[in-house]
Amino acid sequence: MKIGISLDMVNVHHQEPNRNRYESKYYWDELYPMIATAGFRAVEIPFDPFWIFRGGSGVPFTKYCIEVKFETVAKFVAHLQANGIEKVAGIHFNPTIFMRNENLDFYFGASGYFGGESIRYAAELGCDYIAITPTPPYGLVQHYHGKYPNWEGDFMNRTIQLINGFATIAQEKGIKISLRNEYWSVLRSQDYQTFLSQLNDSIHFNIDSANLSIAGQNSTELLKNNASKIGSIYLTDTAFMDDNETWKTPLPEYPQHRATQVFKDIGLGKVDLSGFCQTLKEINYDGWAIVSNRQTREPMRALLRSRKTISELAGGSLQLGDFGIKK
Amino acid sequence: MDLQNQQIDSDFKKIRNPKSAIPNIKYSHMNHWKNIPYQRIDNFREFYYEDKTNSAYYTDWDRILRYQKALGFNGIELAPWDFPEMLPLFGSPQAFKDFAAERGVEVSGMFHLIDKPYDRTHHKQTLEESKKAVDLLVEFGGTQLNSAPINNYYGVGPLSRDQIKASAEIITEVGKYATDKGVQIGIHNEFFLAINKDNHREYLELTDPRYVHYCLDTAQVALLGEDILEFYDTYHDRICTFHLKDTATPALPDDIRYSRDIEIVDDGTRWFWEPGEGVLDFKGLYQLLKKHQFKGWVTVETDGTPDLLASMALSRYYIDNELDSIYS
Repeated sequence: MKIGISLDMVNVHHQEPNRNRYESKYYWDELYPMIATAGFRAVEIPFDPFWIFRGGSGVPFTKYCIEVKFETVAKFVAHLQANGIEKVAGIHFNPTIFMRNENLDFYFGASGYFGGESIRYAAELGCDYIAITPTPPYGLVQHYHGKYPNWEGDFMNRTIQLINGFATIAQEKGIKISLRNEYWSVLRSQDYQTFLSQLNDSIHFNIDSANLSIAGQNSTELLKNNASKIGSIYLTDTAFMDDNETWKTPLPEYPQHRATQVFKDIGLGKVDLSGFCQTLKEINYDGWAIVSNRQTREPMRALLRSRKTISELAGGSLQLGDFGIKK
Repeated sequence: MDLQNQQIDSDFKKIRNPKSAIPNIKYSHMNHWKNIPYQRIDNFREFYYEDKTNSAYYTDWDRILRYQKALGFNGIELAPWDFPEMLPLFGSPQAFKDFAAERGVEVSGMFHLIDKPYDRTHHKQTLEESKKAVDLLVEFGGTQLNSAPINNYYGVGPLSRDQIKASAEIITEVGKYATDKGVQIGIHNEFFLAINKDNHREYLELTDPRYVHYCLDTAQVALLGEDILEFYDTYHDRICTFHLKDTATPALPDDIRYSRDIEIVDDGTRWFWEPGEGVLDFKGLYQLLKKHQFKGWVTVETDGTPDLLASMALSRYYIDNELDSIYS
């Protein structure tokens, strides 16, 4: 497998002291060489059109931002390479930002438009895949649309059309789609096999260690049974147990009934990452494994913690070379 | 009462109620808290021990509203970019209003953009979106809709005379609707908008004073090149509320104000500072507030600060110790 780290470790959306520095280019200029210094030579970028509307174009999350600060995507890639980041492995597109009113045409229209943008951006960056979150959180969709009868059926039918539309663009651009499935997804309340059977055959799946753990699924079995369909992997960690149906709430990443951090820096949670990576080796997985430390409170520290955890995972039968890391 | 006792009595009154020295002014705080994911963290001590960082102190609305109340900011001005998370979190504007009221804070107003006012073919949509904003503010219980009058200069400017006129026409229409609902539209100029130094007085005078008012953001107006004392003295009857913030770089040149995405600068330069930490003459402004007997909300907008709580406290100290005594 090849290892990278997601820039989602920089939480640009929620309050914390001095979080506004994340919107300025100087912060990212310091971060890029730190990523390489911590041993990561590839990154994943969360595509986030909020920064087109907001004007914080120092945040490298859209093609618009890159063009404002670097003129072209190619110059941005060259800038990353000059700072030791050899490749942008992939993009993550999450349409949740568009679930903000009772107009489903707005949601699907904006998701379709910006999803297409994200695939084209990924192609220009030279990515191998795009990870797509197929639905916003169940509770958020229900908040806006729950009063309509059959909302789930209608929503899923349009979601299938949306994703198959993405598959067409991705095939044209030579990018692999990797479908992410967070523990709070609307898919969780659906017949998943029926959903899968209606998707374009080119679509692969993302396996996310923490989300699987919270949803109570057996990751080893899943990895072995779907080895040929894995498009990308997230190495994520958690100690969270969803014992109060948090997945049905509008903000499932922030469980209101007992406030806690759902996702932890890798190595600080309870997921058996060693067993997870061992299984990846056993199935000869040769794609990208992306460390995602979303919800970390200190990105620079999370970088070093992650490298430490990877080094520890490599202490047994796994070697650093299994993660694509040179000593 | 002898002289000594009079002094003691006076000192005691200051200690007892230092934040009600000016009955005509209600102080509010502009919400730049950038999405707060929790309503109230009950297990705060446990939460803190997960990371042992101070971010725990900035994560729930309960504490933030308590900070505001503690520092004498009894109003909060809301930011619409927070609503997609805030409204599902609370369920409704009324629920947030009640939650804030339990902590002694009311919604004073909210920020708003009059989108594409220069384009008459877009006016119908601009009006509908603005009506929704007014209705939402009414649900929150607020009265001040502080409205950026137009989009950024970059990509829109320079405006023709007819585009300025069209912009004034649509905000007047919004103002009529708002007035019927008990809401004041306050033009909120920003230093990087297409309504700028050369045309904002013309724009203001083209609007109907019965329906359109002005929110004087002291730093923004100074950054675009106005003398804020002269501007307030001239237009005091139009000014319904303030965004009180300082700047150290007034009268920015055109090439900066008109450049792309200039609000957030690559090297971390700050345009906005807490009152008293820049160069603006707030003491002169408060003398004018007294002269014109200003009554209403004054909002401290801690825009771009690294630490909102520290800025709130710093601002409050300056208001209590340097400004309020001027207009008391």
